[in-house]
Amino acid sequence: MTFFTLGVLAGVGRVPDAEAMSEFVVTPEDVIAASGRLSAIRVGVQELCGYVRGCAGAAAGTPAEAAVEDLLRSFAAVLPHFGLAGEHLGGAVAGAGAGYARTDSEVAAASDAVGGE
Amino acid sequence: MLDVGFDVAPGSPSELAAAATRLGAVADGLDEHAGTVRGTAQSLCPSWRGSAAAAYEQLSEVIRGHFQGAARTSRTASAALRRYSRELDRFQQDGRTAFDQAEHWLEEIEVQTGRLRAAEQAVSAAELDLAGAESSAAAPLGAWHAADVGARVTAAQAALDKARAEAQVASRALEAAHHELACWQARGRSAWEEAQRAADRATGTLAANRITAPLLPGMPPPQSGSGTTVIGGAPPHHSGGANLPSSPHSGVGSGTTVIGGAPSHAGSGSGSGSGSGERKPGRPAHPGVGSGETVIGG
Repeated sequence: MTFFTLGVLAGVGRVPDAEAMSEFVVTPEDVIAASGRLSAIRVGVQELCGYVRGCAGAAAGTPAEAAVEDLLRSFAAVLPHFGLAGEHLGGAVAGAGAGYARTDSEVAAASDAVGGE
Repeated sequence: MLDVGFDVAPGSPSELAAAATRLGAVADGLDEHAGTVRGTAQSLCPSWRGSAAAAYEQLSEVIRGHFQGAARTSRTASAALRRYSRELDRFQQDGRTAFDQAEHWLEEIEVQTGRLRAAEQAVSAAELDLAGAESSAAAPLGAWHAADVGARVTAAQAALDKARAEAQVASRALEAAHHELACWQARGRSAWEEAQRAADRATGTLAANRITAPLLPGMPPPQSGSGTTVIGGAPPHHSGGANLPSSPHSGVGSGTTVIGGAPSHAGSGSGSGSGSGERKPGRPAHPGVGSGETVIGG
């Protein structure tokens, strides 16, 4: 199955506005795969957080201890946001696919309804 | 343990090296994720056109940039820790060598101090013996007794000479030991100071090296980040899609970039149009991602 949706049309019975037109021509498998790759970033980032936690105490007793611990705290605070960013993108792709699929279904249903009248 | 007058620089070079390796792995991982973000956008965008696609591509670029920036930060930190680890290892080795040598020469000083005291006591005793022998020699004695006293004086003088020589040797050895101790103490202190400077360099690099995160809606800003980027306008959810940016604006607080923000359209429309030129009444004019709407700005 392939989504092929012209998202914005200038009006009923009129030629579509090419500038505003939106197209999404991909298979659902592509969308799922792309979304999955992006969402997997969060798991990958969690693993990276584990690496960062493993660095704790590495500079214990040295004059650089405070700087190292500051850096590690900063990473620990910030890295989860990178995981969420990946998930955010994955959600965007999945949502786009779902949205366009719904559009196709609705248009098809409307077309059937018109044809049945 | 003797107090040698300095310490070996503290810290574990192997732990620092292990942390450097881990941070290097973090950098590699972040780079890999940046590649995933870019690769996914490149694989989708040729077949996805329109404002939502453009917004998605832009969002991908922003997020990819953050991943790459964080990877650079991690790699720089890794390099700084590895360099510090190597330097600390070297200066600790220097310090330990100096410490061992200083301990040795402190012990040598104790030994030579003992020898010198013994030699000085021997000198005093020999001087007394000699004085006694000489006073005996001054007394009126018979010929056979005079020969005996002469032998006593000679022996006392020889013992005195020997004791003085030993004192001199011990004194010289003690002086040399003090000199060696001072040299090794200087080397030990230098190694400690060099380690301190290496730590300062690492501290400077790490302090100047900050990671910034893309700040997503619904999440508090990272406590320790000096800069954040706000992306989108609503928490991500797979079923309904996400709000994507179409026009970035910057300047919300120092070091903050905001893309997107509060949705300008919160509707749940599923887009419109069928490719046949028809538009359903009441549908939003600009379909976007997921909800069929592109949500722009704050």
